Amino acid sequence: MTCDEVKPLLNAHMDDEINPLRRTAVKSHIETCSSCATEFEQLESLRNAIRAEMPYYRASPKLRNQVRVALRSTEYLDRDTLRPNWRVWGAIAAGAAFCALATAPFIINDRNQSQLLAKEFLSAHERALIGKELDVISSDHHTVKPWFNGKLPFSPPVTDLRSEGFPLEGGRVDYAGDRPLAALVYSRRLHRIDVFVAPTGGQKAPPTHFEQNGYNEISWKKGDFLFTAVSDLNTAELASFVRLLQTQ
Amino acid sequence: MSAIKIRTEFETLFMPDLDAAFNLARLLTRNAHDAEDVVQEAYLKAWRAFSGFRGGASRPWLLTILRNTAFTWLRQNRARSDRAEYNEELHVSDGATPEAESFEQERARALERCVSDLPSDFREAIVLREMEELSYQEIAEITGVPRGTVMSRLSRARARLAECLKYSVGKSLLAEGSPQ
Repeated sequence: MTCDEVKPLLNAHMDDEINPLRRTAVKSHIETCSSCATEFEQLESLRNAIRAEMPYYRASPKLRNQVRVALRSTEYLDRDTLRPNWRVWGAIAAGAAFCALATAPFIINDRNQSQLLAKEFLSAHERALIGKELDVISSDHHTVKPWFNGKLPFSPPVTDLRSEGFPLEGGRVDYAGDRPLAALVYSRRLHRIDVFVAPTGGQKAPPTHFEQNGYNEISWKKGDFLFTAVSDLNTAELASFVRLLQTQ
Repeated sequence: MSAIKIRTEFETLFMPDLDAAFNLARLLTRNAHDAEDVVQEAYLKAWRAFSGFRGGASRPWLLTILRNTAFTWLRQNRARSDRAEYNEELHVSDGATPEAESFEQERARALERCVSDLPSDFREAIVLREMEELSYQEIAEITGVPRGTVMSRLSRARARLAECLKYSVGKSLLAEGSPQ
């Protein structure tokens, strides 16, 4: 073999990724050619240097713990005995929302529009349960609130209700009613509550109470914001959660 | 199988790969905080896709998901990551005087900086090959390119690294590091 043939194979030869027939030929060429030998040596010392000296970044115990917690909270959905077919329900809800949207041009009265919006919030909640995780995981409202900076054209009010039994778990950016929203996530025992927040400005509002597929949805206005809380929590408990938020 | 058993199985298989996942994410995002976000997102994706895992080696499967998550993340956060790509830790002196640094320390720092300065597909190939010691075939599957592309990326990445190191630490570098 000539140098021109051997040089392109030096990397593969070092990585032991060359076919055995050529390996012998490359090897014997290197033994007799000082230029190829030098190049090969340099490749080897580069590899040795990387393997010996490149810092291997290890996951912190905090990250290890966060991953475990996240996995565990995702698994809960699979075990939910109240809604064993949550995938099916999710698909049905998504299908229903899609049909509703597809027929929207034919249904133009306000009531239906407001119902549609209610369904969109519900779909957003279900989507989040099925797949999309929290973008910011923190029980500290001083962490969650600034996280939205630059991601939304407004700054949503964020309160923790841990001492009242509804700890803040985090938040994400979501989308419903043709605009981006802040979604704040709270928990109550094993239930999850999504609170969607957007400025009121010229927007139609969903009905104050909406119920579907075992989900409850409560909407209200406070200050410049429209809030919608969605959860599989029972109406009474969700209502008391909403009262807490309203009075904070 | 019960959900608890499935989760235990998942954790047994994939939690040992957490360091490998973090290391790759750290080198792709060039930032520890972003790497943690990427790792967490990738683990949740892996968990949701777990029913599609057909056995075999856990690490390449997980790293496939991880690098896809990292590249999606980099695309979505391009404006931010462009700034983050300049890794300050590596460029700003940490106070240690150059004289006090041994040759090995100096070279280790130079190596890290040179790897960090590689284009992301080269960087990824180097990490998977030299730090995870994966085969060309495995790297090809993880990165979704033909085996030949892996080979050429590796050789080009190494040529760049050698050049960068020579420039950073001087010619003596490779000679001193060579095993005799």
